[in-house]
Amino acid sequence: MKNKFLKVFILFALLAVLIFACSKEYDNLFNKETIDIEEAQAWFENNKPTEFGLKSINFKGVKLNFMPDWKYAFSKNNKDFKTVEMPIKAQGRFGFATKESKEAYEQTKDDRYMNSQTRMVVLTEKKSNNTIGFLMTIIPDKEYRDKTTFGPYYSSYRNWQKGFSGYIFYHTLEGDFANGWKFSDGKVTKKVEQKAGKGFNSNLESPTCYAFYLESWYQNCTNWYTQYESGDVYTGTSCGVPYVEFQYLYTECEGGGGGASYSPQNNDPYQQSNTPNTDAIYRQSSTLSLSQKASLEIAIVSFKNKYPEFLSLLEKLEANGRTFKFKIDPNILGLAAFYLDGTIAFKSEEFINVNQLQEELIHAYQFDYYSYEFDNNIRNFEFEAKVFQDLVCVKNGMPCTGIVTYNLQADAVGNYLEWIYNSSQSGMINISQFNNFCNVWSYPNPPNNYCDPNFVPEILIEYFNH
Amino acid sequence: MCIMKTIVLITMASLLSIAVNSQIVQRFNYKLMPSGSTYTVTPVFDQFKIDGKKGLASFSNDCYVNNLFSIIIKEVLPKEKLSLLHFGNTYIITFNSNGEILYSWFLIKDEDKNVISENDLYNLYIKFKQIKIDMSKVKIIPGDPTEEKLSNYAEIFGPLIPKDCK
Repeated sequence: MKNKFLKVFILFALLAVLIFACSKEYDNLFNKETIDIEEAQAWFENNKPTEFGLKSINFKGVKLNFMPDWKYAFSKNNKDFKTVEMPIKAQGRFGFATKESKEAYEQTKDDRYMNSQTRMVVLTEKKSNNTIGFLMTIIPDKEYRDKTTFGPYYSSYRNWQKGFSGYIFYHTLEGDFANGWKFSDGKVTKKVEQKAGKGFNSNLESPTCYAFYLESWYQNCTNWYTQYESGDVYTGTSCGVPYVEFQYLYTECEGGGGGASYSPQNNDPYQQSNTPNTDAIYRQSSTLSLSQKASLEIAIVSFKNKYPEFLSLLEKLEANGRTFKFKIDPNILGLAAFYLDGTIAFKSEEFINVNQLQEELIHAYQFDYYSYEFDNNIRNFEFEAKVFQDLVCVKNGMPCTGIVTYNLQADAVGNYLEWIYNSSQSGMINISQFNNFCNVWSYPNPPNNYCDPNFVPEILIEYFNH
Repeated sequence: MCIMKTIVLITMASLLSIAVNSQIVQRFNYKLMPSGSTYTVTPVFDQFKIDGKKGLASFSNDCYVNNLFSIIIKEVLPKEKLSLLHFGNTYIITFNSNGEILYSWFLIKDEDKNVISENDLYNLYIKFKQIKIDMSKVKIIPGDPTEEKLSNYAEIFGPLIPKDCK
């Protein structure tokens, strides 16, 4: 009797451990860090491609459009990066399957052999704060489907389900095939490349590469609505006959190991940023397109190289962990603007250049420096930012654009220029002269503002007094 | 006879001197600024009269602009003179949206007034006016945020001590 109790107890204990272990695995996989998910969602909204879907498989010429299903998003935190993953919603059903899986489907008519799972992954590399998005597709082989009793999708990016066998494919958000990996019993054994075309080409094989086909299938689905006087009401979805015949050719090559990363052109994605200087200050909620971001990178590099004082200013902003939300806003007053919430807006892509950026970064530095006072002395700050640009230009012996003199009466221009050159040479900013010039400076933004005669231009003093 | 000759020579020399001086006076107007250490030097032979809307210069290539003026300054002012000049001698030029230089004036330090002659300034002026700025490298943008109209001309100022820039 005692022995029987012990057996039951041990059985329960084992069961409890199993359940606990499973729930731990599940919790680990479906960690819902709201902030990460919201950030990923904001990033996607700002960076989503015009066409989001898969275009590297040609479903009989049908364009397969996707939408991320944020309701099921989950986040993961790694030492070097964090990810947010979610399934995608598609305009129809689709999947990839190995040849053996397809044969099993044909024998059993169990369509779970034909399924695969495609997710969107938003990955932020912690060191650079660079964020990328891509599609990840889990394609289990037949044995793994059987072994897990059709539960082969508990992998997440670089955190693979125990003993996983099959393929992991990556596509860009635009739908181009990026790269893939073959797994055998939980280990990466081969890398996969895509070779376009249906026909077999012996040139695709080499002593270390082997061509293979995957079955891709697609089922067109239609939502039905009934028209009532009160409006259209959704009345169900029907899907057509699965289209299964398409075979798409890939090659798998020797070379596994690593974490089976997303890696377009087989390069390390973390080393591939074309905009490292921008990434350092670029907030995820920024809304610049890739080309706009490239323009910003040029502007930031130019800013760093233009004058030592600019480089110092940017380094201080970066040291303070300053990031900005960059955006295009055709409605702003002027060609660029800095807002107190850290937004830097450009009127159009044309004006993403160093000349516009420099003043906004000076304003950002002013805001950090003067903090709460910033709102009260707008004209003083505007004037100081412009004088800063003149002083730094004069100090470095370069021709200057007359950013202050534009708003000075002609008879004050000579006096101002003399003061700028004298200040630069003497290393002494005369505060009362600064405020006198501010007072006669007829800058219209904001209107009805005035120059506080007691303002101390501390940033000019910091940079130009010696 | 000898006295007469001397008188005639002195008179001629005086007249010549007056003529030379009057020529200089006609070329540039020197006005001492309130600081007492700098002159504004404006041409009297060319009056500043420009129609249109003033804007702000924007350089896509700072070195291009620098070199454009530095080359001319080096052509006009010999090394010996340049080495004597003090910081703060400045040219101010006005150019239009076609890249043509419309006008130029200078800030000259009092201690350098005798280093840069009027003739030097005149040569600078003439050569500046022959410049045509490549407007693919320089733009004229609105000078203040509320300005929507296209601008026709803008100003650039820079040092009369040229700087090498690559």
